[in-house]
Amino acid sequence: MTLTRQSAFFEAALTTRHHDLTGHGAWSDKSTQDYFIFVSSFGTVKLRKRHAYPATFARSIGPSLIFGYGNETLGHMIAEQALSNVSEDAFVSEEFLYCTIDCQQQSIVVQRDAVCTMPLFTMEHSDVIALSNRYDQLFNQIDKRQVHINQAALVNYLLFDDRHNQLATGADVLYDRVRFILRDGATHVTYPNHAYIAEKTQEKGHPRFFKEALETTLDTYWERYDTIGFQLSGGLDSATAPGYFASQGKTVVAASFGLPATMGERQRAKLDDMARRFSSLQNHIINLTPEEYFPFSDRITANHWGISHEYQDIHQLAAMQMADYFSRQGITAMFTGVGGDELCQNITNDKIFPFGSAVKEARATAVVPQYMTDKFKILHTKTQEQTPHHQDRPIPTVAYSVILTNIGFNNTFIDRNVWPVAPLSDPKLFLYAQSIPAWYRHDKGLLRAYQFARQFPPSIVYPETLEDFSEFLHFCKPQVCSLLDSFFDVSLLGQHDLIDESSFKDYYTHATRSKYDDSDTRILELIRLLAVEINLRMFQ
Amino acid sequence: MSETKSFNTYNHTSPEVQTERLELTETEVDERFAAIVKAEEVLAATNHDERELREATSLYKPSQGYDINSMKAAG
Repeated sequence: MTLTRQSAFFEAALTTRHHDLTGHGAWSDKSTQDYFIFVSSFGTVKLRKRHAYPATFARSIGPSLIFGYGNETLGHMIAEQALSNVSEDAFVSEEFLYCTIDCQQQSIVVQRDAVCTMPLFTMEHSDVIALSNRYDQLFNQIDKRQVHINQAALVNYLLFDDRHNQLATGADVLYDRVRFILRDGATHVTYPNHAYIAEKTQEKGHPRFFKEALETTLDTYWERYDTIGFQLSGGLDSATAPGYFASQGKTVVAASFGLPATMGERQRAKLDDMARRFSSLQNHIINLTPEEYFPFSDRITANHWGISHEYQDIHQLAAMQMADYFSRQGITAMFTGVGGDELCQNITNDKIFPFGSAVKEARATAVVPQYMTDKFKILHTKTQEQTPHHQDRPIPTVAYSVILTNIGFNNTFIDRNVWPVAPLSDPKLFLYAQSIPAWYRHDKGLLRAYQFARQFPPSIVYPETLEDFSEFLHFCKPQVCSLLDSFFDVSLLGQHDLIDESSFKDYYTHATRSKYDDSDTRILELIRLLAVEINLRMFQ
Repeated sequence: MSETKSFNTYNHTSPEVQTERLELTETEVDERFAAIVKAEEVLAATNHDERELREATSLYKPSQGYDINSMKAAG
């Protein structure tokens, strides 16, 4: 198998070094068949051409360049207003990314939508500003040796898988509805005022309308996106859309990550039940063999370790296979079950973000692993005492966890012109479901009731077992152990006195030789350490 | 996780929603959904112990089921 590094879907590399604001002319259109490419003395913008919804657009008018994807009119209308004046309905109606760059004024405005399907990272370093959907592409324009590690981010990522702050200084993520502005040589990121979930508790939605709301969303999405495929896991959430469309007589093209061993047998039985129940369902299974699909296998196959491991989907090679499969089928949008848990979640604002008091308390009292040094423990204490700079950020219009999934998962598909779509995290549907009393949402009761009414297979609606990646990852332990041996014999984390290498070797040797226990999540902890070590080496 | 999940929170074997047929009319699907909601309303009004369980809020756990790099399958 040969893998090539994919270039970014969207990439802008701009310099702020010119402050005289004169003589920088206009944009040159260097577009190709596949990319919009615009070049000026201020910088370069490259955007993949996409014709299916959400289609991309780019055009220059004198010094101004306008580009983005999705509903341009909506994006323009929102970008022209003060964020505090933008109505909730405008933000939750459609997908868009809307950007304007004036190469004479050296100004940038980037306006994001509510769903943030495409990840978007920014980097400011010296006199360069870079934006891209791919984290690793941010570093193309800068001297990586000048990049420093944000120690608070390192602690929070290693201990809590928290990626709110980036490992590399100067890097950031543009989340939902934010506006990124460069003006007069300074950048600003502004946020909308509303904390949607909190405000939705005043008026209670009635559960009897949930079926209609769900199907209206699915019908709208079916009309909006072209040639749709479905990711099907064998679980409740991802079954919802394909089951509905099959019941409406539509042909449903789906694909699954097929688990190995015991969980794989149970998963396949559920997928078979779906195929028997819905005869128009055609499902393709990508068999996850641990020997081929272990974490980081894509990097070994590509012979390139890259720099994006903080955001890497640990099942990326399998995701590539799925994206390639859909691409070969002519699919341009893939519906997933992402957001099903969150649709029915019952959490308060205080428990969503890492800076909520409940989460802060849990973190402050967390036991730091034995292999972490005293220096790391002091850093942990110091980090938890600090107030994050984004404390005033609003609650997302889709669940924050959905946005995290988008960041980790979506690029693999976007790279292959398959747009990932999560109907269950539709902002309107999410906000409506959150207004229904928690009684009906408990244990995803709304979705189960819906699927029961539509005669989904009992093994989907009320499963006796739940399958996940724990058993698969258990079988990947020899490969992970081998990677740990090669990266941690002499490590940068050790050289920085953040881990004790000898103690860590004992820890991971024990963890990777332990018998299967579905509650043992140490493998994820080891993967995070590998990710950080790989990134540290890339900044050398 | 391979825990066993219970799903007896509404009476899915009640006469209003029971059928052997797979191909239902849209009206029948609507009626089944409405019957489930109705059964839930009755349960909500009478079962106070269950209410406490169902209305408890959960804690944000970023590495245990909330993003793609967790054990859970996406959807």
